[in-house]
Formats: sequence, structure tokens, C-alpha cells
Amino acid sequence: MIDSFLFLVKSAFKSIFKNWLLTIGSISVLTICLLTLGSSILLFENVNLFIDKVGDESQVVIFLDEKLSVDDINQIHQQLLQIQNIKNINYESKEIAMQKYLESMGENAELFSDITSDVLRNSFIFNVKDLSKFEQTMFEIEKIEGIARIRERREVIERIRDISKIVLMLAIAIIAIFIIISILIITNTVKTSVFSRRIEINIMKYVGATDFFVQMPYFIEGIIIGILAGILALVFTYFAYNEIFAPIIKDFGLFAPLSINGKLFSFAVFYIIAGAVIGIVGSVFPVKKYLNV
Amino acid sequence: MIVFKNIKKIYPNGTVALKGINLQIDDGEFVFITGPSGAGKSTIIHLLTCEDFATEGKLTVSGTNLKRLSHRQIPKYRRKIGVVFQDFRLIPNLNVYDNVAFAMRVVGRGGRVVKERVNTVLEIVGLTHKSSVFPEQLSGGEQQRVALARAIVNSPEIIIADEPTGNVDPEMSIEIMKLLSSINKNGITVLVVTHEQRLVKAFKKREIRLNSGHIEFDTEEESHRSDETGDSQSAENDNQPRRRSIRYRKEVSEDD
Ligand SMILES: Nc1ncnc2c1ncn2[C@@H]1O[C@H](COP(=O)(O)OP(=O)(O)OP(=O)(O)O)[C@@H](O)[C@H]1O
Ligand SMILES: [Mg+2]
Repeated sequence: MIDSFLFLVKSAFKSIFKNWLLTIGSISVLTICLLTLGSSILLFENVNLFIDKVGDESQVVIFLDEKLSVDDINQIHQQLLQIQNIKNINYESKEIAMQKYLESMGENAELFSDITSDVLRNSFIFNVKDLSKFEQTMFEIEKIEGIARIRERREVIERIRDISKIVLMLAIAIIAIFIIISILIITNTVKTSVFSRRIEINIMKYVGATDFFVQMPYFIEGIIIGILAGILALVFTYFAYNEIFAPIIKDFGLFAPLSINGKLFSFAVFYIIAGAVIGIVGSVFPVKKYLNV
Repeated sequence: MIVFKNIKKIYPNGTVALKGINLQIDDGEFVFITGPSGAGKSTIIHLLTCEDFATEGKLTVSGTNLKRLSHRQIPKYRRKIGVVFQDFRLIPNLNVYDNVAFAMRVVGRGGRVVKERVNTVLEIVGLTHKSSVFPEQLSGGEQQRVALARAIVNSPEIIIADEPTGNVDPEMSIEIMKLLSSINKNGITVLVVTHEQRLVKAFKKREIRLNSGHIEFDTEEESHRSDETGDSQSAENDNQPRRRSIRYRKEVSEDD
């Protein structure tokens, strides 16, 4: 049993080294394929994180004219209460807004210490209950007098969602193409090694080796290619993400990017399994053809 | 025992290769299959190795109906048969020893058994001193002896050789036949396809001649042929004409 296993693994390694150029080609393409897969996943995790950060899409902020009196503001509050489709109405004075802003800047707050709250406006913040009636509700709100500006993220978030959907679709297409290319290249690699060993396979059949035994070395070859590509992809992902992608996002100061350090194990498992599966699929077909002696 | 019952083989392209073959080969027999090119000799071999199946009729080997073998059972069945080809089919990047050992390893055997058995069969074919030589450094006759060693290494019940001397010079051909004959003396059924009447004459064994898909003659049926022709030119020392009654193996009862 152990003898057989060693024999099979040895056969697999022999063929990997014999066709080393093709093996390197297979590993490279499969690595690129896995990287595309991994990058897409990371991109989407980050887009979701960004959307969370930008806020609740039902949230609307109306900024009030500077000249309004307290009575006017109360008047607007009353009018808002009349609107059916909104809830959680809160008033936020410009002083509170300033304080919140400074808090959000953290260490950098002192840079803004000479700015007064007068650059900001008083506002009302509330949520829209039924998003399907969002447009109608906004139409009602726009009729209220004394509003300087309305900020709603719905449109922005929807656009981000639309874009991310398109990107997702593109990514799936690219991944599918890469998977097909990987399988084709691995198939070709294995085909070459099957061809160079057709006498062996032929003899194996005649002396009564089982199909399993005939296929095993190529199967193992596929798994080895898959695992090596998985490891390479993991290393690339780690460095490219931590050294390039994450710093760029940080520089833009939009949001704190997802940390992958805690997810490395999941990524390793995912890459290696995906790599091995693609490797196996690519290695099984060419041998099947030669099995029907 | 190998039994052909009304075996017909029609290839997908319509070629009728066998037109109803009836034949019985007992355990331990040595049989020559002869006939002109295209007679159907290789087709018979392919049916016996389960590379192909009869279109009609029933072919049983040691009681096993070959048509009833499932895909998974075929490898097990093939372990009962050793095959030798005209073109040797040795693996070029393995030396003599490994070529023979390969046949054992791929059926899941390993360790000391392999070493002992391979050395034994190399001794039988007289190539112990060439163990570590690669096929391309051997003569045709030597290569065929390696192939023969490989065919017997898993102790098959039947040896099938399709033109084993086709690529071997005349003296060596006799040697190969002698080897097959001595393998046969150990109780293994041997089927040899050959064109060379010279060899058939020299060895005085049963000859089944095929012609365009049917049996033209079978010396077994025309009994005592070799006795009457009195061919004294025999390559064998014991040129006792073989009889049907000679048994090397225990008769396997045919089930059906
Ligand atoms: N795979 C195949 N498909 C179609 N026809 C075939 C096939 N194999 C053999 N034949 C035909 O069947 C007939 C018998 O062929 P077979 O190979 O058994 O002859 P043979 O007696 O071995 O000849 P040779 O002495 O030349 O080897 C021939 O007419 C051959 O052309
Ligand atoms: Mg032939």
C-alpha cells in the first residue's frame, strides 16, 4: 500500500520535472486565475465596508438656511412631523456638528482648531421609512421653505451598488475565462506527459492496472500544480494587499480597509482547494482518453 | 480453458473480421495461430485481452464470459494474461530490471516480493547480467526476452504473443520460441500468432490457421497430422507430438 503510494507520487514528480516548462506555465496561469478570484473577493468586501461607512441609505440630512430663527426651525420640525414616510427626526445644531466633525478627525483635530462652527449649518437628520416611496417623500420635503441643501446618500449608494454589480459581473466573466484557460493549459501539460508516457499507460492496461492506478499520477500532478499555485497566490495576495492596496486606500482617507491578516488561513484554504480542484479537473480528462485501450 | 462459440466480429466500419469461430484451447496447451495478413489473428488476440468485444457469439476464458465483465473487472481479468507484442513495447527510460518490475508495481505490488520475482524471471529469460541496461542498448531478441519476462512476472495463466518474432532475427526467433515453449511446460497456456511456417514446423505444436475470418484448419481436429508427416527437423529435444490429453493445469470446470 505504502509502496504503491510512493510509486504513484514518484511517477507524478517525475512527470512534473520532465515537462517542467509546461508545469511552470500551468502554475503561472493558475496563480493568476486564483489571484483574480482573491482580488475580486477582497474588492467586494471593501466595497461593502465602504457602503457601511458612508452610511445608511435611508438617511437624509437637510441643512437649514443660516438666517432662520428658532421659531422658523420649530416650524420646519412641525412640517417634517407631518410627513408620513419619515422617522427618527433629530435636530443637530451647527455646534454639535462641529464637535462631531472634530471627533471624527481624531489626532488631526488641532489642525482645525481655528475654524468655528459658523462654517457649518444647523440640520435635521431623519430616515425614510419606505425606500420605494423615496422620490415622492423627497418631493414633499423640497416644498418646505428654509432648506438650504438636502443631502441624501441613496443615489450615491445606489450608484456604488450598480458599479459594484457591473464590476462583479466583469470579475465573474474574467474569473471564468481564467479558469477555462487554466484548465486548458493544465490539460495540455498533462496531455503532453500522458503522450510521452503512452507506452507506460498501454503496458499498465495490459498487465491489469486499475483505471485508478493509471490516473493517479496525473491526478497527483494536478493537485501539486494546484497547491503550488495556491501558495504563490497567497503570498502575492498578502504582499500586494498589505503593501499596495491598503496603503492607497488609507492615503485617500476614505475608510479603513479590511484587514486580511486575520483571514490568511481562510485564504490559504480557499486558494489551495480552488487550485487543487482546477488542477484535478484539468488532469482527469486527458488520461480518460487513453484509458480505453 | 478458452472457448470460442460461434464468434463473429464486425468492426464499426463494416469489416467482417471473424465469421463464426468455434474453438477450444485447453489449459496448458501451446497453440500457433497462423494465416495470411488480414485473416483475423490480431482480432482474436484483441478479443482475448478485452480490448475489443465480439459482435456475436460467446467467448469464455477459465469459465468467465468476457462479454459479462464489467469495466472494473477487466483489470483483474487481464492479470491472468501476459501479452507480448511484435514491437516489444519496453519503456525506453527504464532499465531492464525496472521494465519488468513496472508490471508488478502498477498492479500494486512492492517491496521484496518484486525484487525476488523480477530476478527470478530475468534468470528464466537469461538476462540477469543485463538488469541495469536500457532497452536501446539491447538487440531485438534481447528486448523481446525482456518483454517476455515482463509478461510472466505476474504469474499469468495464459501468455499471448502477437508476432513475437516479427522484429527478431532468425536464430533469436528460435530462442524466443524455445522460451515460450519452456514457459508452457510450466503449465501456462501459450498462444503465438506467427507468419513463420518455419517455426511452426520446427515446434510441432497445434496450429490453427485462419483465413479471411474463419478457421482454415486446426491440426487438433485433423488428428495425428504431425505424426504422419513425420517431420524430423525439430528444434526441440523432446519432439513428442503433443496430444490433447496432456494437462499441465488442473481442469477448470466451466460454469455457465
Ligand atoms: N479497428 C479496426 N477497424 C476496422 N477494421 C479492422 C480493425 N482492425 C482490423 N480490421 C480489419 O479486420 C481484418 C482482420 O484484421 P486483423 O488485424 O485481425 O488481421 P491479422 O490476421 O492480424 O493480420 P496481420 O497478419 O496483417 O497482422 C482486416 O481486414 C483488418 O483490415
Ligand atoms: Mg495482426
